[in-house]
Amino acid sequence: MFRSLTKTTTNTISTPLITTKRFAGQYVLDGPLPRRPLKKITLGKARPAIYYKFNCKTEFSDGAVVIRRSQTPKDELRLISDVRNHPLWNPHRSDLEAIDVNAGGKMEKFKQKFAAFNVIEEDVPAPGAVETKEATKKEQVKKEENDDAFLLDDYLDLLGQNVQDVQKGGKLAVKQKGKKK
Amino acid sequence: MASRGLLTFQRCLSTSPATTSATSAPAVPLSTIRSTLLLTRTPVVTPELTPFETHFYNYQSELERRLMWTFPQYFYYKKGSLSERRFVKAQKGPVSKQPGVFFKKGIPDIVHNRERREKQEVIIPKSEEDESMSDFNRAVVPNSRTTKADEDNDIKSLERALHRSLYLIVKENGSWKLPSFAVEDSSNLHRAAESGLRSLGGEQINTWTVARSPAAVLKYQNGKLVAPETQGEGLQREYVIKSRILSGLFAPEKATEFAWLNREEIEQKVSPEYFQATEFLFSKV
Amino acid sequence: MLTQTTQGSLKQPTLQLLRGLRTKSKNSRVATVSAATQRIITGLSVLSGRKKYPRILKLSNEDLIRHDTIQAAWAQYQRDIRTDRQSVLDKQYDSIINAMEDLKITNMELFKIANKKEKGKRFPLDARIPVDFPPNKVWHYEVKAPAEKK
Repeated sequence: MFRSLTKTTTNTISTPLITTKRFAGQYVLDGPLPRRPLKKITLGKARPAIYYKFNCKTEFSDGAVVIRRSQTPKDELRLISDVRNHPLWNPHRSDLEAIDVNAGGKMEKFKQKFAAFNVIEEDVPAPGAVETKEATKKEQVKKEENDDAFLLDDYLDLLGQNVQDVQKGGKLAVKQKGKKK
Repeated sequence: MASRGLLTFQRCLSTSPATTSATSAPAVPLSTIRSTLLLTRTPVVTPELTPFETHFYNYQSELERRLMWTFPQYFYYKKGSLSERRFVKAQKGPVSKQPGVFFKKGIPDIVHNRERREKQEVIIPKSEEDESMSDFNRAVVPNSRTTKADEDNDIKSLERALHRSLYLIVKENGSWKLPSFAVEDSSNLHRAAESGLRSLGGEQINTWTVARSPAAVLKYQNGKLVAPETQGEGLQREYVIKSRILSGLFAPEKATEFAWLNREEIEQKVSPEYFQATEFLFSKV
Repeated sequence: MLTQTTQGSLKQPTLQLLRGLRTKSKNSRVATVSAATQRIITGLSVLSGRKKYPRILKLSNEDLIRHDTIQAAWAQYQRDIRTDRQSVLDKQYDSIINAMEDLKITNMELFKIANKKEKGKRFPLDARIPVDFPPNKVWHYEVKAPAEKK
C-alpha cells in the first residue's frame, strides 16, 4: 500500500493523482486522505508507546505475593479483601476472618441513620464478607424483631401526632393594615 | 494437525458399528475392573526459572527499561503539594550540562529531568518503619518459597515442593503405585475412585474430579503390566480418573504408606514398567 | 517583585516589595486556561511521547549480532517447549481415546456414564492460580461442607 503510493507520487509527473507539496518535512495533500501517514518509518526509528512501569509487590489478604507491573508510582500494594478471604470463593473453609467491606460505607451510614425503622427485609443471603457468627446473630435479632413487628405501627402513630391541617385555598391570611398615623 | 483430525474421524467411523457388537458381547466381570485415582496437588507458586530463562528475562526487562518513556511525574503528583516535594526529594537528579565542562561519560542530554541516554530510575519515597505503623501500612515482606516440609524432606506433607505438581502414590503389596479401588455394583468409575479415596484416607478432603472419562487404562495379565491395546481373556483393568485436591488432607487410618511426589521422584519410587505406562500423566511442571 | 528605588544618588538603594504587580504581559503567548482544560491537557500529555522519548538505541554490528543470537536461542527454546508439550498432549489424547474404546468393549454401562456430557461444569471456586510467593498458611487442612444453595 505504502510503496505503491510513493511510486505513483514519483512516477506520475504528467498526470498526478495526488499533488503533494512539502512543508518542513511534512506532506500536504490536495485530494483524498491516504490511509497511512506518508512519513516512512524506517527500521529502528519506530517509537512505540512504552510507558514507565513499576514492579509492584501485591500482597493478597492471606499473605501471598505476586509481582505485577503497573504505571502507578507504587511498589507495594496490600489488598484487604479479595478472592482468598471471601466466603463466596472459599465454600469449604470455616476459619474465615473476613472484614466487613461496607463498614463506614454509604450503605452502613444509611442503616445507622434509619435503624429505628425496622423494615422487614426479605431473607436475602448475608453480603459476602460477613463473618458467619455475625450472620447467625443477625438472624436471631431479625427473629426477635419479627415477633414484635407491630412496633412499626406505633411509630406510624407518632407521625400523626399534633398535626394541623394545612389550609389550601379559601380565605387565606391577609396582611393586616397598619393604623394610620 | 489435519492428519490427526482425519485419524480421529476415521476412528469414530470405524468404532460406530462396534457399539452394537459390544452390547451383544459378554461383558467383562466387574471384579476385573478397578478405578485408579490420579490425585494432583497443583503448584502453589510459579515455576522455578532456569538460568537461561532468568538471563533472558533480565535482558528483555533491561531493554524495556532503557526504552521506557520518562515517568510523567506531573500527572501523579500535584504541583506544589507535599507528596510532590517528598517525591522530588527522594530522586537522584541527573547531572546537568554545564558550559566549559568536560563530561567523561558524554554530554548530558536532559529533558524533563531525565537523562535520555540511559534508563530512568524512579525512587518511590518511603516513610521510615516504626512500631506505630499499623498492620496495613507495614512493608510487604514475601514468604519464603521453600517451606519447613522441604527442609525436613517430609514426603507425606502437602506443603512441600510448592512450585511442582505433586501426585498421591501409595504402597500396595510392596510396590508403589497410584491408589486404585474396586468398582462396586457398576456405579461409575469416578464415583468409585472418589469414595474409595475417602474410605481409605478419611472424609476430611476436598477434591475436584477433572472428568468422568478415564485418562488412561492400565492392563495386567497374571499380575504383569501389558500394553494398553491388549485384548483378550483374563485381563485385569485399571481405569485412571483424574482429580485434584483443593484442601484437606489424605490421612489413612490403617498403616498405609503414602507419599506426595513430583514426576522425578515418582520415577525413582515406582517400577520402570509402571512409570513407562503412566509417565505422560505426570506433569513436568 | 523586587524593584530598586533610588531616591537621591547618595542614598543606598533600598529593596521594596511590591504586591499585586503583573508578572505576565497581557499579550503573553502562554494562555491561561481553566483548571478543567489544564487537567485534560495534562492527561493527554501523559499519552503522548513528545518530550518523553529516550534516545534511540544505537547498536553496533556486534551488538546486533548478539541480540539476534539471543532472540534465536530463545525462539528455539520456546519451540522445544512447545513440541514437547504437544507430544505429551498427543499421548494423553490417544490414551483417553484408547481407554474409552476399551471401556466400551468391557462395560457399556460404565462407558455411557463416562461419556455423558457434563453440562455447566466449572472450575472449582477454591482453586487458586500460582503466585510468586506463598501465602502465610500454605494449606488448609480443615474441610467444611459447603452451605446448601437455597
